[in-house]
Amino acid sequence: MEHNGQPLEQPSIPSASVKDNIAYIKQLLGSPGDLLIRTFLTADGQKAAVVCIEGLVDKQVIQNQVISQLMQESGSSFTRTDRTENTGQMDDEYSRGTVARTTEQLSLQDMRRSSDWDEIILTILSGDAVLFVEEMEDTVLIGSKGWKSRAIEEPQTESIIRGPRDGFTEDIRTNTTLIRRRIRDPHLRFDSYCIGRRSRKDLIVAYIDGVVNPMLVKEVKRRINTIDMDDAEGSGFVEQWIQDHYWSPYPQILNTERPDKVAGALLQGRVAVLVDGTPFQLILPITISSFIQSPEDYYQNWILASVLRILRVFAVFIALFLPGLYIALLEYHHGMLPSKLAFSVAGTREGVPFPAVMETFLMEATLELLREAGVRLPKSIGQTIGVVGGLVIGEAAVTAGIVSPVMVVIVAVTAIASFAIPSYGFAISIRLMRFLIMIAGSVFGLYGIVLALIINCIHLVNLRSFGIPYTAPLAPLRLSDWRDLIYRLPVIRLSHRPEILETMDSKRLDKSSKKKGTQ
Amino acid sequence: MTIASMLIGVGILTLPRAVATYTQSFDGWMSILLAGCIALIAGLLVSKVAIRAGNKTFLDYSVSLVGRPVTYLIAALQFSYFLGFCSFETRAIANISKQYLFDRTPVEYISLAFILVVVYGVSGSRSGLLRLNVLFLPSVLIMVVIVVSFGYRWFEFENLKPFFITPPLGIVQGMKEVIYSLLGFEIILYYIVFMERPEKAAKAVSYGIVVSVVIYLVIYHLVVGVFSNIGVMNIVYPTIELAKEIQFPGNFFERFESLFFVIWIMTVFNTAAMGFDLANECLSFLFKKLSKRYRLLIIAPIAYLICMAPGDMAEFATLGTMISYMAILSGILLPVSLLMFGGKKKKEEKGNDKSGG
Repeated sequence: MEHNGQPLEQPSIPSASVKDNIAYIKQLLGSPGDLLIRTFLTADGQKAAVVCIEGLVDKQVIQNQVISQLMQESGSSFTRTDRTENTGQMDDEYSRGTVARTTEQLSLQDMRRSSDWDEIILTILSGDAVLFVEEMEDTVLIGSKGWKSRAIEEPQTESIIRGPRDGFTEDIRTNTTLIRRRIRDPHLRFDSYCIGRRSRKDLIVAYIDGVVNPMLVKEVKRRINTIDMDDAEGSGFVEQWIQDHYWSPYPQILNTERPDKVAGALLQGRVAVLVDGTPFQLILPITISSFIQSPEDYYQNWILASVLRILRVFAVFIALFLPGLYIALLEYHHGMLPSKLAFSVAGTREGVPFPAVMETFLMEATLELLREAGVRLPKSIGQTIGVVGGLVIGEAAVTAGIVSPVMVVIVAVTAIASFAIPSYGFAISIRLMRFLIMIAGSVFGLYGIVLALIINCIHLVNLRSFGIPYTAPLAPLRLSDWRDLIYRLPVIRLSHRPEILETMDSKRLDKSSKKKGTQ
Repeated sequence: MTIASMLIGVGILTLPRAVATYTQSFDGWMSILLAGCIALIAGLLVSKVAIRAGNKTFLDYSVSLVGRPVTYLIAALQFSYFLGFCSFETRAIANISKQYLFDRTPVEYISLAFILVVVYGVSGSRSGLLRLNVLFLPSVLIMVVIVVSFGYRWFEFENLKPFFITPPLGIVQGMKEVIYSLLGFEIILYYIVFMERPEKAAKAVSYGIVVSVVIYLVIYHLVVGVFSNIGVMNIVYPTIELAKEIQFPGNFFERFESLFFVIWIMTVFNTAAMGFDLANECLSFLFKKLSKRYRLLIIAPIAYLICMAPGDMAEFATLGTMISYMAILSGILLPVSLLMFGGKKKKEEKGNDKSGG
């Protein structure tokens, strides 16, 4: 463990004197107000001290299980029971003093010994308590984390109608629990890392051993080990650090608040990265199709789910192209509209002082402003902005003759379509691309839109998410993965994990593969 | 799939006219079919070369066969062919865009935009380019299906009759035209490296050629059936005109041909981008020290200049013919002669191996 930047010449091992140790800790931490130091005498008359940070520890645990036990019961009273478990190594420690033995007897679940200052300090700072005992060189680290954390609530950003309602919280332990409760596979692995030079945040790489491709896990771990920054602010920093292409507007790692989504991804052979301090956990690698999929697809009848997915594909197209097409058709290719429609559009545009390009940019920009403003405002006022923005401004703009009613319809439909995309990150990218296509459409008409589309596709086919081509399984074509792509086949047909992930155990269910053999 | 999307370029938009000029009534189908067979044979031979080259790139393979100086010549030839090909496609797109999409924007800007996008496409990874094929080809096929299924409303069988009245010479001349637009399968020489199972190259090539020939036949018979032979002869882009005739129920779209053409741009882009990519590949063989960025910077202006060189349709057609001749030379004759040469050398090598132990 590297831990540079300590100005003090530190003793690498805690000294036997409790007083010295406490002095050192105080000096190192600058004796902050929230540092709790409780010195006491044990029942055996030895000097001892518990050091922890107030607010991070569960005081009940410290009081009931540590201090009172040590103070009231002398070591000898425990000797009767523990003799049988003694190992040779422990004998050495026991010979040093009765308290040392007593600490073994503390009725605590999480407890370990350490003589490494770095570890001790980190333990204190991450919410555990440390017990120093006079004339004992080891210190006892007591797992007593217990801070106020938010209760498990319904995810804010990804609500679904049918399906579990619990969402991740900011506490990484709660989050791992949520995943464990869904997957009781003994092969579920949580590999812990500590990231951030100063923030020292917990990070967990979760995967299912025997399902996931080992090379993928190795690569993820390699990239996580390269993370070198002061603070991993939420999962966003981690995501941006480990993703393949940082200049791409498209998200290459999926973030989600839903434990069921993470569990599903793990079972597909993906890797999840859980970061402490944020409810948004990362799923990787992903392909572009991940963005039109929602966990709800699996809870519903497959026909409905497939239709909904196709609907979302349309939503993506509308959100991308509709304003651009409007510009292109009105400015360059009036002839392509059916004549009746062309007349009615032209009729409503009468008196509008701007060309279609200006009009569209104006309205789209207003919409983006509204959306941004809506996010910033408190929820209760956020509704007002919707009403004010959507209804009042739209209505007033039309009556004032600044924009045509058709334009308002187009903008509204585009906005609704972009809300229908399940992934918020992807929806933002689409918003950005929409402006690109609008520019292309206003310069070169339909031709420009197609060129912009081609440019986008070039960009997408060159993207990779942890080595997996972003556009897979569309291109390169993996027909077996199409079973769960734009449409979703009945559950019984989803017999294999995505081929593109090159999982170790590709079969999901045996039954259907047998069935397939007979067909 | 790659082969098919290389073959389906702008050729199909003008092909019916070219064929109809030389043949009478519906007899062009023989030209198309025969040309398809020839292309198939040539394609199989070429893919044999590609398979024989194995893991090596085509040019490296040729170095091992005929030595470096000759290979330089081959590379230069291939370079100019692919470059010309790319420029030709670009100019064709620009011309058609001007005719069907905008009448005021100058061709120069239209093709400049196209070239820039091609450069962007090529500057990415090469396997990405192949993935683009897979992405775009289906949409093009869907377009063809739409055109065919809605175009049948105007189909008149009378226009196809009478059969078998074209003299053989006409059919041969028609064949020539078809072969020109079927050329392009030689890219397998370069792209076989990316195939998961290179031994299936021959299958891929023949599949690509068959798909293209089928599409040609379908479009051709439909075009002739709708416009009659005389009509087709006098329409510059018969296939697009066919799309123009289409009307959707409920007047949902007017001028469907614009949409058709716009989608078609995607496959033409693929063709042009692969041409550009291969030109770049050949150049990299000629000048090994240049980095890819510089190569692209060199090729792009040349491509643009070639593409702007023809002043009118007649000169443009001449450019097309020139490129076609080069295609036959560098696409079929060269690899086939290499194949024969390689066969000879292989026997010698076998002999040597035996004697050398």
